[in-house]
Amino acid sequence: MSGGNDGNTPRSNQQGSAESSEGGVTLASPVTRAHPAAAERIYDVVIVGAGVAGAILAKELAGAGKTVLLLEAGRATSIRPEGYASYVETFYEALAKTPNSPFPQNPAAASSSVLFQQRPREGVPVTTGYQVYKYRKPCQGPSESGLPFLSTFTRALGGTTLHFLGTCIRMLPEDFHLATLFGHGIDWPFGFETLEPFYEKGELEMGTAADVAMQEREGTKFRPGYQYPMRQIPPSYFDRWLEDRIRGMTFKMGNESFPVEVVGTPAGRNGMPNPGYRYPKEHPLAGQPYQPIGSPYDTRRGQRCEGNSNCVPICPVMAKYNALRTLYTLQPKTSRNLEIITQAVASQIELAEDGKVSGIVCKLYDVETGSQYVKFTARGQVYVVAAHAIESAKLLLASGAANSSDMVGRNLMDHPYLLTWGLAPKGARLGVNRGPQITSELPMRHGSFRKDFAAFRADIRNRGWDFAKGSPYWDVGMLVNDEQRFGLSLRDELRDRVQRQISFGFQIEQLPDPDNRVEIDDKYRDALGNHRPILSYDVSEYTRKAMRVARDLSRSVIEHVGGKDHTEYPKRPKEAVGYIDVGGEPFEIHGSGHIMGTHRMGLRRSDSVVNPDQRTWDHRNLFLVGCGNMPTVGTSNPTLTVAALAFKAAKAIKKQLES
Amino acid sequence: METDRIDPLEDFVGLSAVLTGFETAELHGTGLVESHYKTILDILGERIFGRLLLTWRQIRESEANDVDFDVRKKILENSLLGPVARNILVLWYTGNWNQMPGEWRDQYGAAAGDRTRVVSAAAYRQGLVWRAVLAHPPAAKQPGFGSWTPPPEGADEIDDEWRQ
Repeated sequence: MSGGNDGNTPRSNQQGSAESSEGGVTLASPVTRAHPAAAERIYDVVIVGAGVAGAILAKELAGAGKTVLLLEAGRATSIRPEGYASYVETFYEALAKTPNSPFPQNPAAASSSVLFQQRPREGVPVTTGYQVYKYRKPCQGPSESGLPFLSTFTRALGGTTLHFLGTCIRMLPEDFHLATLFGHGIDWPFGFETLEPFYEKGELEMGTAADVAMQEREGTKFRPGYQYPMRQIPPSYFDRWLEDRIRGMTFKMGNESFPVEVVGTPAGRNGMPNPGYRYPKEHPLAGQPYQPIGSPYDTRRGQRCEGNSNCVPICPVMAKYNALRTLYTLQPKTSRNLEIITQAVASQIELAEDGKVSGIVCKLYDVETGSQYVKFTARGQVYVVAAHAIESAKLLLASGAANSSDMVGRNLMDHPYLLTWGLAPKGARLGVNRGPQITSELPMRHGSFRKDFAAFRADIRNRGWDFAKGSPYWDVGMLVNDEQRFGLSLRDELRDRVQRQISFGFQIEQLPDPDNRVEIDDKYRDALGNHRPILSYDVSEYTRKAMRVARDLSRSVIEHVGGKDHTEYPKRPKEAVGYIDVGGEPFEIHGSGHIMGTHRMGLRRSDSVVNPDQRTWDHRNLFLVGCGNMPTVGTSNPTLTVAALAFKAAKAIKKQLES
Repeated sequence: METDRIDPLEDFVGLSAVLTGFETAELHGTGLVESHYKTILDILGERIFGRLLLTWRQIRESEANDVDFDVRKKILENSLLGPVARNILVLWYTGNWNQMPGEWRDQYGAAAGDRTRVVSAAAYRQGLVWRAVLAHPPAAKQPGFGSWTPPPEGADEIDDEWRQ
């Protein structure tokens, strides 16, 4: 390490949740690897997947006195502070700072990677990475190649929350009734009001900072008198600059005119506690003011966002929520009822003759190459698969489970992410590259236009052209190699250019489509002999139409502030993995990292995989929890909704165990 | 008796200051002078790196009026030294070593160590680009809660509720 103030290594905690031992600091979390006793026991609940859904379920059920076994395919590198710090070091040293760059690849339980995404052609799937991308004919434009699924996930203790942005935004009431209100997709089996109390629990668990009044203006609903645990994260200077210049601006979509407004984005990111907030009555701290939870390794760190500007792919101080915070801050009585086994890849759901699940067959690997593993079968009264939309669907398909509807693996969704960019007027300084990557947004989430095209939210990006071009390294390369600048001329020009960079990222709603799907094939297996997911993907006209609207909105906003649009998309499919044709015009999309919809929830067993309790229609003791349950996805980042669904499922599971 | 001692490390820092637009003291302050020097020497070898430093020393000792002009003419526009100097500049700014251009390798030889990479975590954290653009490297040198709200250096305050 050099320099005095750049060390982000979590330090040991002297009095908090960590214990000192001879080898350093180990957290007081019930994590083991290959626990031989696990094979002998029958737990109340066996959960597959230690991401946000699995962590919340484990905490709720173990906290209610149930014995719980939590199985995680990935490693528990983060169990020691040095391990978490090694994620940060790995990020520093990664040439491509992708969402999974801090987390070393693990062939025994591989994560997907943007570095292996290519466009599949008819009959020629892309097989170079862990995921197999299969051709699906695009609904518009050139058809010699198709889109791969563009989002990725992380397999490690804590799951994909390790690299998520932290956005904690509720779905709108109207999002639950898309078919009834707008004639698209399918309705949820229940309305917003059913999920509302669980949203509150999720917002507490993830430590959410937001402003109720601001969210209400966007159409979100709250219980009267409700407060978020923390105040809105302060806006970036660019948010303020933009708000100041677009005040009163409107934008016409269809026959309606919409105000263009800067709205703070709710985030599971530590800020100032909200003085109006009190812990709810069922909480151990009932009635007390909110106390932010920072790094479990060192309670002095991460109580506020420290401005690391790196929510994705890793917050060095855990001021941003990830599921490790849930797993590493358990009450002792909860810990006693919970066992977590990592490096245990659920490979088969074992079904008994009565249609109930009788066990989860796991492969416990020691060395990551996968050549060595032992099998054991985890047994419980109730089983939960919470391994996220791709791995959960894959496990169900590989086991022939829960699929009487033929809906398992279908309706795979993302929020296609459309980037736009431009330059503010000469001389402007926007404060680019400081603070959380996104603090505010331009929402176009609700309105009658949803009959015609998809709703969206535009991230106001605080990092200039980082995602669009690779700035500021890209600018360095341009100025040094192409413009032959050096010295102060380089330094000044670099500052002036980067400080003017405007960029928006539109997250656009995607409809359920049964042909966007996860499949398996015995031809494609990983190092442990488990199936690799095969993904087919396209984006329908409903969503493509919204891309043009988003592009126009972005251009209007940039021009309104006196700037110049610089957005330019690749002209041909072979120039960009995310090439997409919108009515004859080339666009480019990325993934939002929102992997949703592969085992949807519904009211009928004929067209859904789980019921409103998130129990499979086919197996009385098998629940599925995660983004896969979402029938439609609205415009909200799904993590908070998943947290809410996990709390709801925990309640149903408790009830079932006690009946 | 005072001799005109040759100190290649000081030559390296002097040339780096002209290339980067940062003071030699600022470059020393990164703690990376020696490791960058060694990285470059390992990749390019004494023959090429020595030639670069010798050329710089001659410019410095000539007491030319316009050092920038000479650096451009004798180093950056030189087919051997130009791509090397630009790579060193990018290394200081980003912490990345970029593989030398293909044409250059054809003409002056390839080297096993000449691979595109982040040379070290410290080189990433100390990348000058972040200081040049009035920011900090993501995940390091974090400036603290709310530091992103006030105007950056040289920008105007905005009259809103976040005004400090």
